[in-house]
Amino acid sequence: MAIATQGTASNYLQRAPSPSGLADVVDLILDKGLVIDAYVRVAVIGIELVTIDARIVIASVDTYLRFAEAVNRLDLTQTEAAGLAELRGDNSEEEKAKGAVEGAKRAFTGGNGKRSKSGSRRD
Amino acid sequence: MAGATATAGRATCTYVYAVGRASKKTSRREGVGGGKVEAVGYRDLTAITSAVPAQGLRARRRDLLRHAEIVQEAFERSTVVPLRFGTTLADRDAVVEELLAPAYDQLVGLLRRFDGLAEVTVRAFYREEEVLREIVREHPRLARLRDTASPLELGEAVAKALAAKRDAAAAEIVDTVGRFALDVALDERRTELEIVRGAFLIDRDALASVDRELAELARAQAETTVFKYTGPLPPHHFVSFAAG
Repeated sequence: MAIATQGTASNYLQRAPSPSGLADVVDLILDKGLVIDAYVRVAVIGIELVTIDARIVIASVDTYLRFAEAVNRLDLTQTEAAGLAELRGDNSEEEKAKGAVEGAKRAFTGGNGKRSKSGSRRD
Repeated sequence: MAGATATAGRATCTYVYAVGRASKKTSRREGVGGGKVEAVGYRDLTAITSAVPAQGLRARRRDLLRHAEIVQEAFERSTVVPLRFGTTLADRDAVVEELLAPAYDQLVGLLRRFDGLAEVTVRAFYREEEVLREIVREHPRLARLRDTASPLELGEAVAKALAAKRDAAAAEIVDTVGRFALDVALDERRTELEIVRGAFLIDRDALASVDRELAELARAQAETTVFKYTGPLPPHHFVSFAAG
């Protein structure tokens, strides 16, 4: 029953019934949820590591330079319509965030389950 | 302390996913580490548990997903109090003696509080090129700075304009969903392009209204902003004994 002329708002946002990937799951269960008592929670190797590494911190100078470069690249004469084709599929931030979390996961559970050193991803 | 010493020398421990009201149903899924999911009952409470190796339990990808799926499945049947990943007690008896019995009143209180409620999570982030284009349009000064300022000065001015725009957009999203929420938990932003990352505790009856309002926002900002909206979820962000 899509009404093409008006367009319904729901076309723009579908609710997902459950977290869709590891990054979303990590957000929900690793540092959320009821904590009963610190001492009963057996140390699960790697947990503290992933919560730290999942935080993406970008130094501000790097950010400024990145923005400056991006703004300099903008073609300001370009019409809005011309940009439409590029709108789709550019989830670069999303992908980066996911990649970082999964990279962190691989870093400490990788291979034969060897424990990775904290800071191994700080380069 | 009892919980810490009792695990010494054991082959297995008991992992706890969530606490709900008495129920005969248990999950047929494999638990964390591959064990069978079992119920541990006490009075009218049930803990959803499975045996895990006492040594060497790791937060592997598969186990994180299993934990989340088991809690989600239980939540879809009835109200649950989700526990944090990694919650492990010495054995099934310890689940009663160290969790269900001593915290009985608090757990019952939490279950009552979350009856009929659900968490939804909302994330919104900018598409970099599109939002920068809009910012330059809104601030003609930035276009001039391209020719006159150093990259650092230009970048800083852009970052400032972006932060102001982002904060206003975040407030609008939080206000819009917050009107339907009993509680709000905002997570730390992870990139400059992330507008909001948060969870809202809502009445299930309000879900359709939140869908509608958020979709309206998403439509208005479709050019620059990507939304990610998930739920209904167990109240992961909102369970704590202090709040119960």
